[in-house]
Amino acid sequence: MDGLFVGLLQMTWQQAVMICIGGLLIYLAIAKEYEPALLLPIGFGAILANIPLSAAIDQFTGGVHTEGALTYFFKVGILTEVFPLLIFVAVGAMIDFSPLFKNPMLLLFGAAAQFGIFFTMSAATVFGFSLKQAASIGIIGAADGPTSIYVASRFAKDLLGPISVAAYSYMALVPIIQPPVIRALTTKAERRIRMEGSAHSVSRTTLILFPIIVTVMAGIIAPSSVALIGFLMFGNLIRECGVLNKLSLAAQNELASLVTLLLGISIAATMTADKFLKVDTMIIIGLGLFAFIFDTAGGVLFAKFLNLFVKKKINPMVGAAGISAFPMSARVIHNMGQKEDQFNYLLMHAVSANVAGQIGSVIAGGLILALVI
Amino acid sequence: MDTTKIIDSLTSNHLVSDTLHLHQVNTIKDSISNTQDVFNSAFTKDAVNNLWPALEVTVKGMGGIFIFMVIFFFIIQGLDKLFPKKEEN
Repeated sequence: MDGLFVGLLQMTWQQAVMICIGGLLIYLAIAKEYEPALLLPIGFGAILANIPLSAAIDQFTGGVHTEGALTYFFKVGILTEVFPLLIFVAVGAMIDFSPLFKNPMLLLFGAAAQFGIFFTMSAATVFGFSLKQAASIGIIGAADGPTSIYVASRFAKDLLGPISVAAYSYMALVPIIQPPVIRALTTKAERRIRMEGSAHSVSRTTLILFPIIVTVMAGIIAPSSVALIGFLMFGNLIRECGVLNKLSLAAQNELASLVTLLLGISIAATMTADKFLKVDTMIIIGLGLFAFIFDTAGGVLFAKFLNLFVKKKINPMVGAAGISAFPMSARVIHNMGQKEDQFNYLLMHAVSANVAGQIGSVIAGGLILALVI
Repeated sequence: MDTTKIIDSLTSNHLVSDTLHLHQVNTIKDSISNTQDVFNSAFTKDAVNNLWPALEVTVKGMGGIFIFMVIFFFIIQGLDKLFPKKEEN
């Protein structure tokens, strides 16, 4: 009879807490629709990984090692970096660079809004994390799940669980995090600044050559960024070439869905109670929020700085869209603009900055891999 | 009292002898030691020493991203001039 209750008898309170956390993530995914494609698999995976003696993860019982499917997925998909890179192909196929081509100046916001990454990295070292761990925590501010996972899988495998949960949770919370920061740093008059639209259109040749040239240039300057940028631009080339429509659609839909599913559930293999229920986790989650706040502040303050020199003023809120959370951040900025002035259409500008943010976050990931030794 | 020592004494007295229990005990010990590590190393001299290389990466990283973006800006401008969109009509 004892055999029937062996799982229950082995249950620790930490595992019970982790099962509750898994349940909470599933609740947030379904009831609040916070990044459901990722948080639901992560939540369910967390439950699978924390059931006592779970066959889903590796176990050492009586000196015998039993392999679990989740741990296997983690080894072949995340430790080899295959899953994040496949997601980059899918994301690249989804990105339309043409809004950015209409106002390339907005590329600079994709750089300024990465400030939170580096600021948080520095703050994390003061909390006692090693430089590599700190870099992995800072990259939560990339507001780009695959980049966070890619960097963390290189530098801090043990922290993958909390880093992924923080990255995806805060991406879902962009509409709550960004507005108060923007309001605190801008005046009403600044938020009402109107920006002229551009009717400029881009040739197909330009759209095809851009991903190829960017990959080569980025690769020459920072070879460690080639995988990150290369896979993103490969996906974009599939989209823009015009002869691989089926592949482009498959990358945007089937590939993105399947790999997201596997990515989420594989990450959960690291969310065992012994690795997750630590003070580190709370600090990482706190620092992640810090990163998003300083990203937003970096973008807004840089726009205000540019306004000191340019004739055609930029609405500083557009700077905040320089984070990679696409298209949520652009939508938030547009809605804030409309609240201040219902005839102010910031959407196209915010989308351009948001696309720049997608490039910027990948470049930031590549640079961190190159600079942190 | 040091919790790790209590667990060590429990283990050595064979109060917990089953290997599965040992695994759990080790898990708790790891958890406690990790927690103590964070508390012990935060804001220490070592942590602050780690800040300097982090600030160096910050300066180089932010500079690097801006350089990349300026290069991409010129690539876009160049491509747009070399291959302008032809009028549909």
